[in-house]
Amino acid sequence: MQHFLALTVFGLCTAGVFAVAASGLVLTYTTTGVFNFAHGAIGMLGAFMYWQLHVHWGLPTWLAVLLVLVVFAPALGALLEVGIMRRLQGTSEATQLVVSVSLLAAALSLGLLLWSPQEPHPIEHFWEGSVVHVLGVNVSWHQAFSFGVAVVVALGLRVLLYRTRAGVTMRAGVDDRPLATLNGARPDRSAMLAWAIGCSLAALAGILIAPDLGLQHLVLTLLIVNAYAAAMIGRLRSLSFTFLGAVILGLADAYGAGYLPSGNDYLKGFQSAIPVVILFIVLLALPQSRLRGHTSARSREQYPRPTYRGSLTAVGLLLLGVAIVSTLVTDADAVQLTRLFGFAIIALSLVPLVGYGGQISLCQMSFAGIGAIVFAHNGAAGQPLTLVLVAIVCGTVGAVIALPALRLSGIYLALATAAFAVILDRWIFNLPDFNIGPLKFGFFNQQSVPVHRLHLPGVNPSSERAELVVVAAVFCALAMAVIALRRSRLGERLLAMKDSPAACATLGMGLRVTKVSVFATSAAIAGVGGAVYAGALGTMSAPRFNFFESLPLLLLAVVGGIGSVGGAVFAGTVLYGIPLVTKSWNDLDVPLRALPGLADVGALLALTPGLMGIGLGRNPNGVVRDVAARFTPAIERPRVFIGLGVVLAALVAAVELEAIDGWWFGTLSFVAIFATPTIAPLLDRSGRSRAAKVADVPLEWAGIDRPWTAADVREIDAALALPEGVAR
Amino acid sequence: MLVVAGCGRSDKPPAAAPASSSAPATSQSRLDSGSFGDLTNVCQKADASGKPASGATARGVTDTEIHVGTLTDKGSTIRAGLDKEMFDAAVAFTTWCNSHGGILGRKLVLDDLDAKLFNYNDAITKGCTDDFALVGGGAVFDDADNGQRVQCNLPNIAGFATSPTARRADLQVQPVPNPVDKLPVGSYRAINGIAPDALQHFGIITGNVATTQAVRDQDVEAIEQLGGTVVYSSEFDVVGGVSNWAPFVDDMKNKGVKAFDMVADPQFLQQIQSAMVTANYFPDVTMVNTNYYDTLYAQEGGANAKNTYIRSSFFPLELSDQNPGTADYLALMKQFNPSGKVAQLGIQGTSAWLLFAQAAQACGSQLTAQCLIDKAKVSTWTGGGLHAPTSPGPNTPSPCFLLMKVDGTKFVYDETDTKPTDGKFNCDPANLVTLTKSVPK
Repeated sequence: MQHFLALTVFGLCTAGVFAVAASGLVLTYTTTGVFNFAHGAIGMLGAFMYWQLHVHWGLPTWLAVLLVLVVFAPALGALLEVGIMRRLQGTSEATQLVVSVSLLAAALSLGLLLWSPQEPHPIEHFWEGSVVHVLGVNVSWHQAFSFGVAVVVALGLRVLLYRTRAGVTMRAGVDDRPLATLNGARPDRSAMLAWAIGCSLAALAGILIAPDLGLQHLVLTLLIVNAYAAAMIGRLRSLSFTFLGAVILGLADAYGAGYLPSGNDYLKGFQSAIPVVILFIVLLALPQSRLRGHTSARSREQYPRPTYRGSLTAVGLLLLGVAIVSTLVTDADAVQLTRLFGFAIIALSLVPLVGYGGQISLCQMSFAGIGAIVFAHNGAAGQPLTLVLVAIVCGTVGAVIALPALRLSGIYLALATAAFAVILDRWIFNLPDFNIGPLKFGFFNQQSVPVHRLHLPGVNPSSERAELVVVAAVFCALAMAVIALRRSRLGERLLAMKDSPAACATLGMGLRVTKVSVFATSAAIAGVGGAVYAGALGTMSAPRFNFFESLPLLLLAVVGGIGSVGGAVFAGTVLYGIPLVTKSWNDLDVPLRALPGLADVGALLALTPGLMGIGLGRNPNGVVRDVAARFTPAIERPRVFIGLGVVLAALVAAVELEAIDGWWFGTLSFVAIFATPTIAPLLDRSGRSRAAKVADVPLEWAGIDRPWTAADVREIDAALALPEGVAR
Repeated sequence: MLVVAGCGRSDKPPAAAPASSSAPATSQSRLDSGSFGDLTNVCQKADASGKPASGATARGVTDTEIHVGTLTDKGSTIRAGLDKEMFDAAVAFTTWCNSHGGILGRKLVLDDLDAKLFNYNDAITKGCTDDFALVGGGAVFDDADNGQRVQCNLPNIAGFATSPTARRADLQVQPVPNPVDKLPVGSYRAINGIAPDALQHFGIITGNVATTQAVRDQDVEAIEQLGGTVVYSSEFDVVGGVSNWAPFVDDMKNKGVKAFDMVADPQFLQQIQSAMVTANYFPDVTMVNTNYYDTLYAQEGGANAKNTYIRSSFFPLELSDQNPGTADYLALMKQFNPSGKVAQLGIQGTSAWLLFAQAAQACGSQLTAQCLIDKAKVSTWTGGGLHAPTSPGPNTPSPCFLLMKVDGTKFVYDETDTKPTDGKFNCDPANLVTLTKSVPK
């Protein structure tokens, strides 16, 4: 009994911090509609800021806390709202989610950059050493204080939202922004206030928990995953239920630590998975969300329907390029490029799911991990037929995950998939092998598992370059399959579902089958990608496939352009291209490197994915689309295009003859390719009139099926017999 | 995280390496003359007859250069800068060595093989492409080893080896051996002297990682061999962290744990000890491995560390003025890599570099992977006096140990509880036990 009481008290102490963190999360969500994944990372920054002021610069505790909570954190929050979140109006939920995930990535890299984990960051509890006696248990004053703070915060927020004018405006802004504006409210202003308070609460949670967890960047950032569950018990709206959720969570955590048998191999990881298991259960128990009407119609995002001809050409060029590159690179770089394509396949799995179907998934890397395990444990070494088994197993798991997802959408779906991913990370992937009837289940067993490469008959299995071409070919095949899917009936239904689930249901379209099949397809692709990717890694361990790996995957795919296959290539390229660039930079012996900050460009580049994601607000259609659009002048001029081919061929020849090295080849061909669109109009003026005749879609669909181009304007001008440029 | 330093060694006398007269008296003059601790002519332009070594006898070896890789996890994002001190020591050592003419005239070219925790195979692939040998490094997840290193003939004078796979690997010499079937248990024996019945109430915690679990199993077997009883054992989530250690502490208190060992990272011990302060409960002895000998731990968590002892087979940095080898390591770092991190694994890495330099010199113009390994398998090794004598040849750990006690924000040599038999070390032969049931398959 004493033990039970002790655990209860400990649980309540943890609950305090969860409650503060979760209520900040709820506040930003209820008032701005953005679920802030970066909440934990902001808390981490707040805790470090406090350390900087109090420990490093020696300010008194109260002043340091005050400065962080009243000055720095709110300023950061306001800045985020004005600089980033405000521009997200009219973008899809996936984009909003990705922006906050990017923020997480950027904040984490920033924290690592500013406060090196190499340096000691000692941090003390408030009133270090003083202890209060509760129910026969020792609790530090700090912990008791945390609980008190949580209660005050909960009450304070309640008063703010329901008793003050500012609070009522905040809530009104979420319910109906235009209506609130009509009534003279200024939703922008209250959003800013909400973000300021939200960030301040995140920082408060960070400061309160830091003395217990230590000032650890990643651990502090991760803590918030536990708070998700509390926020969800409050259904992202009710502050009192959020508080209750935090208490449930804290108690479950403490009882788990105290009562779960420590000797049982199967339950070992379960304890740390408790918060996410609760999150998953709560999400399943949520009442079905109302079907969304027309949000996407207002969205600024648009993707054209790919043509077979164009896609085949692109895929062919890609394969040709890879074949050429494979002869030029070192074995080690070939391995890196192989991974690029493995990763791109996993990213490709997001295209039908998120890009076409509008379903958000944060567990693609988990499917990839399952695929890798199946590939490693079954069949002969690298046997391609095993990939079929991989696809079947992952597809089945995907379909099972889709069942609860049938009832969820948007952020709820994203959180459910996140919970699933974390359950796998913390518990399932660490299980020892077991049997169910004749079936043997094996996982990572908390160590590295060797994986063979995909081995096609007739291909030299020990050649890194051959492997690169094989994997690139698998990517291309799957990319064509995804394009075929987009053009199929299922593809049309997916788009319809993304546009308006309510309309689909009204028209009698079965959303269930559509959802389940797209989840299963996507999981199968991710699984195959995971198998190939793991093969390219040689050995794999569970952390490669954890929840935090799924975040950059989604981030980069969305930045690249989630609605097209190009986005997947972009994701792979950024993730594996950046290290290659960094390496080349670090190998270079140029005076520029002596400049402070440029010596270790890797640390700076680590910020890029985050920053790119943040930029999404401006350009929600993705980078690949932009780049492709810029290449249009070159593609419209065959002579220039052929000229580019000749230049590239000459470079290939030069490198084969060892006239230049691979580095020069890379630089020159990069320059050649990216300079082409700019110089193309200068080289070939004939392109203009010819381009006008190129009509990939009927004119009446221009601007709908694909963006409006200058050529369309000219065509209209011509049709109306107007001088060029008038219709503009 | 989980860097498990081996302890090492066998015979007695600190046999000085290549026979020579006594080394100069100060660190500066020793380093200036190419000596380190009690080793002389560690690096030089030519052999005794005045001839430099030559020939492209192996991958990475030319007339003028030897390419050598140092494996670490310093670029990992989860634990940024992990084992960085080993690479820092490698930079200092190679710069210093080259300033004395390198290995018989061949300059050492250092290759940074960063496994970043999960890219072990990449680091090995890179080493297999460019390098003659791996020296003075280690990677936490070296269980990813798939035999590639041995296949490509890349010898390893290891800084440390963690997983059973790596600890058993061929073509490898550990200056501080850490085999799978023998364990130095002197520190556990010392527990009886510190708190009489503590060993019978032993509690142990480790992270949910296979490598540390293996170490935990070995520790448990050793404790039982010594007549102890493990009354409490649990695991925690390394990646996600533990937001509240109080339930763990309460459980330990209820089960009457009097001696405690944590096979993990210092940061976790720091956290659980903070919870122990709150609960006002402390085991009579907390006995942890050498990887806790980290100034970060002392500075951040030392204030809460009661009755905490760290076992080591290294001469303490705190007493460097009493030991030329340790003083030379500090001087080497100060002069050749002043921004580098000074820590125990750096010393361990330096010991590997010294062994490498000695073996490579002995091979001369016949420098091949096999020759390097053969010459590095010496029977007695102290790294110029950096640590207690070990025997890399038979790969037997040393029975010698000493205890450092955590005191405030510092580590202090604990002579009373070490009961030294040999300088600062306790080298009772009974300090070494042979393990059977916990030897990993």
